[in-house]
Amino acid sequence: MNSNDILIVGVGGAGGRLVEGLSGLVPGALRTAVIDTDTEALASSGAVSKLQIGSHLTHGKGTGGDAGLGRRAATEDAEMIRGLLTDAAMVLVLTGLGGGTGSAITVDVLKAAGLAGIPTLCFATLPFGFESKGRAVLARRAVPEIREATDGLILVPNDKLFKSTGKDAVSEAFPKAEAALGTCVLAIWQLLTKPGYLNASASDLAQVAKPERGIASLAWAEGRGRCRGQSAAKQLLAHPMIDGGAILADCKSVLVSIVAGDDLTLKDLGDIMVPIKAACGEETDVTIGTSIDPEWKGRLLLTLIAARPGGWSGAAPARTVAAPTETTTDEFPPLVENPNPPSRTGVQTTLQLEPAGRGQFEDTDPTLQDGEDLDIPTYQRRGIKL
Amino acid sequence: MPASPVIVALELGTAKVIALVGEMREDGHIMITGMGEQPSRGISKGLVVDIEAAADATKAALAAAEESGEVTIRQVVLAVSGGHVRSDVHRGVVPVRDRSEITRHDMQSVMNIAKAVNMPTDREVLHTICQHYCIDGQQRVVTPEGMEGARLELDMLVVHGLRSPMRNAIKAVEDLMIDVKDVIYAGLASGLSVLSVEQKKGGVLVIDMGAGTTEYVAYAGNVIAATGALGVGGDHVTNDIALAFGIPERQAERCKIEHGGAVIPADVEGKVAVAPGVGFGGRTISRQSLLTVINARVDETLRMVQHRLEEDKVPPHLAAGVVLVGGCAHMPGVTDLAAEIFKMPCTVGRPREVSGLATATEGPEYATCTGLIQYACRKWQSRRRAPALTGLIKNILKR
Repeated sequence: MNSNDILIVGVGGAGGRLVEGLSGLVPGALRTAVIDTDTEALASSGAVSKLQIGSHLTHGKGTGGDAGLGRRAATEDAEMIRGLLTDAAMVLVLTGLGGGTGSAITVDVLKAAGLAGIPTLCFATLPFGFESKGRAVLARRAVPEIREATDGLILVPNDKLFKSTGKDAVSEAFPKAEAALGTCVLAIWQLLTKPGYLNASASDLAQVAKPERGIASLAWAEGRGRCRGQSAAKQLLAHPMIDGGAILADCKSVLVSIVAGDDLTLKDLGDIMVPIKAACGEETDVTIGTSIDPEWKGRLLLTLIAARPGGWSGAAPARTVAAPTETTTDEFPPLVENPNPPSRTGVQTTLQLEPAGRGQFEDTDPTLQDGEDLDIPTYQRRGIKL
Repeated sequence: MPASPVIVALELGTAKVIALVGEMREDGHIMITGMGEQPSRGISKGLVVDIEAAADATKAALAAAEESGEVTIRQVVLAVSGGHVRSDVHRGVVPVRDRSEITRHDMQSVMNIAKAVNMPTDREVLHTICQHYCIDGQQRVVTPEGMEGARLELDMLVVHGLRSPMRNAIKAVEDLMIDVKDVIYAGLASGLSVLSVEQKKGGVLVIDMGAGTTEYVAYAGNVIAATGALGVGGDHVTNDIALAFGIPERQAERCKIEHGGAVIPADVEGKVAVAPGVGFGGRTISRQSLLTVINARVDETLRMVQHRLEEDKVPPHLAAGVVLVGGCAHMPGVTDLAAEIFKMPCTVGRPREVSGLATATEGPEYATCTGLIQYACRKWQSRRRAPALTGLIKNILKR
């Protein structure tokens, strides 16, 4: 999938901030959009496309927690929402439930994509337990509607999200939590746009997070240095978002995404997958996807999406869980057991026999483009014989 | 009769620091009255790496320009470049306020939304340029005021670059107690100086291949569709030659200028003599190998530009073709190579509507500086004529 094919839409104030944090991580690379009623929030957003809706209902202000107002705004400007989504091959929707905009409009955005035949994946944060009851009710009402409208829903309760980012001051905790969630969405984006040797496609993703499988949660961990595989897996399995790994045993399906540099080894893969598989139940389908990005040399990012049957605690009556009809056992590529690991020499076009010189650019920063140092002579990089 | 004050344009290039003194005449053409040129120091790949050395070279170039133009220089317009400069299209969408006729207020509010871009802290916006408005999804409306519609969209091209390299270039000039009046992205300035209205209307790609960087700007349908830069230029060609044949840089540069070419003719044969130099006894190299090294680099650079344009969704065929400027436009065969890669006709661009000092008005390497003068003169004029700031840059760049 091309990076331009994936549209990342932030809905409402929280969604907008998430998109903001996300575009800061890889400036210019993402196709992002923000939908909001609030002119000020839109004006300060750095998203590529910005759509203001319901301007003469709210007069350019927020909805102030009034979901009815949000819904009317979305209905009125449904045409504009549809216009925004055209020519996307996949839509990732980021939203915060509990407010008047995110709770109401997210469903309309997902439905518009669904009608246009565009697969969607929705990341929604849930309000803190200590927030007002009204917000919890709004979120609770929105969840089942969103489940109906999307191909995959990943719920991120703020309580757990903030537990995972430590005990910071509020001013630091919010950006940190948003950045953590942003990194996860980015990992998913990378998985789809820059697939490595073990591919997980958009359909694998939808398979794991599809509403019939229950409520999907998200966890992440980063590893650095020599034992990065081991340490990342350990952190991941202790992650509060998945209750320290406890929920994995009940999960129907799990997707593990690994973003790593080209120095990722099969040993690393083993270090990661063996403990994760051990924590999962026997019935669990574990899908793995890798994305190789030279920027990640020496470190790796693990992202795990796990779907547990049943509803969100306190949510509207959980829908009956449809038994998975398809056999998905062969989805999981043999990893550690494989005696003939996939050869990695296929990607290296020429063997560098002489050391790559940089001549007059020896003391300057490398001119990097897609992982190549352009200061090294072209004929050397292309392996042209003189 | 001059129609503008005297303007001094300054470009801190990787090979040369160029200062041009000029003014606009009443018929709109630019008269170059002075110039100063100095080999650069402290600049690599378009970036100032040694402020003091760069300031010294700038001082000498400005002194020469003062002498030949018979002026005292206190302020300049400065071109900035570097492989870090990129452009993105940002789209703002608003519903039309009274649901029928589009007013100036609607245009202003969509512009405010599209213009407000949050850059990462290390980047800075250089220019925001209106591309076109859309009414209810209908493409390309130039002035929507008074038209009917329910939804107004505006595409805005935002040109941005890394803050610290741009600040360093400004600092090198300000250290000389010279005021930097305006900062303009070099790629846009080159386009401004060499293109005619017809070329911009038909669609055209300008590639400015200098010593340290290669800038590009693509016009489609009379608006700038994309612009940016690569941190690769003629110095890389020289460096490749030096490393391939183990010869000193100075000899490699001479080899490139005297025997170089961007294409490899089928009947190429013979050897090229490399003159001896300090600590180097001289040698001969195969002409075919020399051309192969150069061709690989130039081919790669042009294809990277092509790839960038594809990413930015610029239409692949532009009626007015490719225009090459910058020092590398002098290289034999480079227009043929570009024509083959882009599958469009390719020419070498020269500054238009400029008279005065012959060297400055004819060479493709002076396109940036003459463009700077044109930009500054027109900005000065439009500011005097119409105080409204909105759409100012758009107007300047469209002309």
